Amino acid sequence: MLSSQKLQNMLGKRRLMLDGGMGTVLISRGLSAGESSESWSLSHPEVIEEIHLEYLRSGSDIISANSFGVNSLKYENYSEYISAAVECARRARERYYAEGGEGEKFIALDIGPTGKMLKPLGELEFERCVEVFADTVREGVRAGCDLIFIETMTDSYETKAAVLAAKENSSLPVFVSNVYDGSGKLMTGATPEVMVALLEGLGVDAIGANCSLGPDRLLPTLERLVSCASVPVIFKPNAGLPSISGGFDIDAEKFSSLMKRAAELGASLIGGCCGTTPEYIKRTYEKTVGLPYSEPKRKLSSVVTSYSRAVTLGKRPTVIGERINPTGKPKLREAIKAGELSYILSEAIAEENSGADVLDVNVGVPGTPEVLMMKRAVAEIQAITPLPLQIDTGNPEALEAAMRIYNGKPLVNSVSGKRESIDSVLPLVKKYGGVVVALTMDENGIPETVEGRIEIAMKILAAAREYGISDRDIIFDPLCMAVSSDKNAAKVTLQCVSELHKRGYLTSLGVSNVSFGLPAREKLNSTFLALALSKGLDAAIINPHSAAMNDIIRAFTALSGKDDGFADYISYAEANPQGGGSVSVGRTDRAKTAESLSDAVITGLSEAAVALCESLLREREPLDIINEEIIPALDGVGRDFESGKIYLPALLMSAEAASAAFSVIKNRLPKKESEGVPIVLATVKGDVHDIGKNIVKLLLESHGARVIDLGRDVDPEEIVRAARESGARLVGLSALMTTTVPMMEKTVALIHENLPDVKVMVGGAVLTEDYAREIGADYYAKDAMGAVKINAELKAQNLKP
Amino acid sequence: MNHTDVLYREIEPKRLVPDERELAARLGGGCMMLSADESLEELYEIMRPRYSAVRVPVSYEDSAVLIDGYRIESEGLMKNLSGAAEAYLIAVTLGTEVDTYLHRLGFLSGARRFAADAVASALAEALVCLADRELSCSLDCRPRFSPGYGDLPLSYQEVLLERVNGESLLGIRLTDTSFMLPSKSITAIMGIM
Repeated sequence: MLSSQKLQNMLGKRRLMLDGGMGTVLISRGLSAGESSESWSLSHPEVIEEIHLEYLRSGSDIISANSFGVNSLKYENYSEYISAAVECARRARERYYAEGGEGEKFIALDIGPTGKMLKPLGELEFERCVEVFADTVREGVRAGCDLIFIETMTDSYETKAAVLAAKENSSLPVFVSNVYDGSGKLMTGATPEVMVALLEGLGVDAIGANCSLGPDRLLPTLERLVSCASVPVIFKPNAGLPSISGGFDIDAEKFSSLMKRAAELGASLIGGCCGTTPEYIKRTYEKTVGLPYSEPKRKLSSVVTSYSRAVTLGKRPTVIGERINPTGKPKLREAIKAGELSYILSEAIAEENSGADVLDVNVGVPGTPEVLMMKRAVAEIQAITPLPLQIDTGNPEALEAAMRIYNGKPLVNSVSGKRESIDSVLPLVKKYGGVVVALTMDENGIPETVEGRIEIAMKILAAAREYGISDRDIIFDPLCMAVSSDKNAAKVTLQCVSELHKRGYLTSLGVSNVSFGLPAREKLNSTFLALALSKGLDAAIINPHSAAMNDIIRAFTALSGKDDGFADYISYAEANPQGGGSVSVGRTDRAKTAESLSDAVITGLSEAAVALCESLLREREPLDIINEEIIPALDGVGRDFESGKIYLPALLMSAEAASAAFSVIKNRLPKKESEGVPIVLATVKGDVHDIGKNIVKLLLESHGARVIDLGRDVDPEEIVRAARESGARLVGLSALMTTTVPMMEKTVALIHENLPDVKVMVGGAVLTEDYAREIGADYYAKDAMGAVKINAELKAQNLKP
Repeated sequence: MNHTDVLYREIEPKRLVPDERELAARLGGGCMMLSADESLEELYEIMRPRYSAVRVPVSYEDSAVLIDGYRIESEGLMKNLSGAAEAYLIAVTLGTEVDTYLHRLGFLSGARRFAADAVASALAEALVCLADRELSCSLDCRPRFSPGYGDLPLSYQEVLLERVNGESLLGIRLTDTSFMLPSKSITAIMGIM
């Protein structure tokens, strides 16, 4: 039997000892401050071997090769380092057996972080990150290690990249351990509950915590891991914290006593990290070897997560926001066609502010590249909201692209009883993890009877089990058809919810279908929602801005005993005293008064600007208001900014107030006049700084221009595509860093080559008029006001951008 | 790398108070200060300030300073340290949540994002001052000096961060252009006389 199989068989059946620190011991053997530990596998292999041997003698069952800091980003000769590191561990194991040592001993390929931050906060592409880890994994497998130990990871997203690389390039057991701080969070915000859901979804064999703190301060994190994980839990803390006088503050004796406590609390794999030595491991082994071991218990809760938040389905009604779906929303369709994400992102924030727990994301518009758009939408939405996402697409390729880059464990919408759907969706759920919505329909459509739908539900469940997907990762949608076409539609659906609930399964429903074709739909929807909840409905896909729906969700949760101390209900009721209204988490502008619209724009009061604009519209023509009130006010503010009388923030506040007024006026203008030719804006590929571009956008919009904002770090090809499809005559490019100006030059060239009539303006901290000319731009915008002037100039030249 | 001597502290957010005058100078006072107050409250809720530091030996060789054995050619640093035989290497951060918050605010309001950015920068400054005070309490210390000031190369950032275990303890990563992420992070050298 292979070593890795032997390890698989032992996992969860007995407690296993890991090793302790490597760097710590190397210092005492002469490693100097500027040297890396990994270099010693090549320069001092005998020392590394000796340390491994000492850990084996101290009771370690698993030793980690000295490969922690090695990766193909850092070292060209990474393969040499990795094979040398694994070789040192192998020789140590041989010596251990040769001197009569007993027991199965395993060698872990030790993988640490790459040292780079992933996009969108950083600059490393997710797929590139997977490749870097894949290089390490392939080399470790070739060198003959028995398991892969991904450890000291501070970012959930990078952790996911490493796990995918491990799973796609080996069949070895995969252990993952993260760094939690004193508040029980990773640096990027994930909690133990989030990491367990994410990692169990990816099929990891053991999950845990290491480094950062001593066992004393990490014990609460351990308890949380044990309480939610079904797989064995790893616990590998530091020897406490370094003290001012030097050295760590927990000695081997105290450490081992605390580790005994950790073992009693349910840690299955124990060892030490920074500051621990073979002495620490020996004492820990002695104190824990005789302790009884209890196998990890299987947990039954259904959890979906974002990068930082875990939502447990079935605990209380889950609100899935339905607004990011182009069906019946012309504005969203247009935004998707133009490749513009800012509209989707503001909608995501609005849904979150209205109290949604999960956001459904559907970007399918015929004739647009759904795979690309879904990937971009998921990447951007997950960077601005802590809510988990429900990936909603019928295109398996788009589904896989989104699940792969999703930073968490998503809801997947959906699989049906059709063979084709089962065969394409369930393997993805198995590979990437997720809770999948199972629709009770198949090749023959939606059965009219309760029995028919339950039969399909059980068929999907059986197929999922065959794929190795747990029952807890399925949520059924028994589908609701319009009552206007079948008066029993609601009744059958409600009976299905009730039956599935009785059998212990979770259910979800798209609620608003029920009222299709009837007037005052919200009355029907809200009553149907209340009925479905009373039958045990666990999740509802609804408009989270609907006051009636929100009232029902909050009131039902309180009445069904699922709102401890009525905390949620009371805060909801306080925020909405009249009954009705969405949960106001978002902040409105300070309610100050202004005398006139131009006054409101000058002072930067958005709310007042909207109110004053609405009242002006009763007396005056929309175009007059723009030309006589808004534009003169903005011009005045612009002049004050240029002469240094006011600062940028004040200019921005005015621009926002003007934009708010514009949006009121636009609704009254004939479509042709309100639309105009758009301007495409983007921060170039490789640059993640978008504050400047955002200011330009705001100012342009405040002057009535239509802007397609492609965001930051945008491919040149994507910019050309957006300009071509929208018919833009002006493209604005921004770059903050000297290092990204060459990419700006490349982008300008590509635009000119493909779209000779389109003008390009550039701006950004490192650019100058000369520099702009040198890279081939048509215009240089010194600042946001400069961009506004360029646009006006082009308009005057009758280019009408 | 040796991290056994690295000090690590998590700081209660409300202990950090941004310098009002500095903020007013950046934001032009008035209406923006109200927005800054809102941001401050929100930042107190989400940020996780922390720092790590290590005390290292300093020596001098011709025109170079040797910090913990690492050779740096910098007249500015040489002058700043003024012969100190030891120094603290310090790294502080407000955490990634602040970057996410600022990114998100950009979609809600450019003006608020601008104000919040200024507040966050002032908080990072307050954090490094607090670290400075805690570390230098019974010592005679030189004013702090940071990579990127004067002729102290930004590239030293990488060495400093490695030495204070900035990646594992603080989650700080460098971009290829030596830009720190999370963005509200500061590194410094502080001579001990």
